[in-house]
Amino acid sequence: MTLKQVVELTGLCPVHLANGEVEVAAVYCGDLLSDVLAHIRPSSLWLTIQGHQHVVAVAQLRDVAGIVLVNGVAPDPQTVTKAKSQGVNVFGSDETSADLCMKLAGRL
Amino acid sequence: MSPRQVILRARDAGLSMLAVADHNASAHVQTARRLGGDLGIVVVPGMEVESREEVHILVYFTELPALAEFQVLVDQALPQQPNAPEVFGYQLLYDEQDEIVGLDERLRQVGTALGIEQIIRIVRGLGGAIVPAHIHRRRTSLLSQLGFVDPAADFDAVEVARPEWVKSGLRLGARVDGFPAIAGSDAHFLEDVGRLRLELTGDVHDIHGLIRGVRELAEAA
Repeated sequence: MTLKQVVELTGLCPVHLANGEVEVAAVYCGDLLSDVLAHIRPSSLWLTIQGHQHVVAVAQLRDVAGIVLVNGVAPDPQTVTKAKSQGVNVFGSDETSADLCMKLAGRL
Repeated sequence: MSPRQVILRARDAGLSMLAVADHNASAHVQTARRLGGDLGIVVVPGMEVESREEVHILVYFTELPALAEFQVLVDQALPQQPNAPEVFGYQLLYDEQDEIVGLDERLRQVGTALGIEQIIRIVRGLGGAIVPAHIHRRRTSLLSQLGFVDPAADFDAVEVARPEWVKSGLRLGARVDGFPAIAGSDAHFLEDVGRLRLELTGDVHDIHGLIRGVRELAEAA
């Protein structure tokens, strides 16, 4: 499923949409950067409550399809700036990661 | 920030003691200590280690071999991954003359596999001191990662981030979350070396002297 289709299916709010055509192959839920770096697979949608700019670096390092800030967490201003300059897809959602995962279960 | 430049700045700032505590790294400590020794400045061998919980913890030793032993354990507990210089910058290694002599290619800007309790145990075993860093910071702090500062934990002191220390008007002798509090420059740039300094009367030759002095003030308060 493309990122654009995932966004439509789950009702994510775009913070920065660089490329909606990327394939989303998996989902990862994680808030410890070390853990995400160690375990996230390429082309994953990353659900997290970490709104700081370092998530953009991690997303670049691991070829993440997009970052979703869940629980209504707002991104830091530097995160938005960095996402725009680095071309990283970032979204927001008021839902929990569990609820978003359940919406995507079996669909990717 | 080469060891030589840091020590020269420390001299110009009138410091008699400073700690060098790099992130999961310690390659420059020996050089800094030697240069400092020539100028009568005590360099405390240290490291800011990142725990498994992604808490930053300052660890300090009195001698280089203990730090070296700790570094071996940290290296074993870091992911076996190369640094990504486009994201984290190049980790340049300098000699005493400011010449670049190497490149540290390990990924160090991540958490180790060592938990907080483990770090405390190891550092105690090596005769060092444990000071959780910037404990109220929004990320990589005890508060951000665990939600609280455990009053029963075996910390020697806690570090308050420089802006908070200044804003709260803290002094040595203050207790924060139950522990004697300290602060430092946390210099990531040369101009910040010596930006915030602690002053203690009496002879302070090493980290234990500093901790002792701080604890005495905290007990008297």
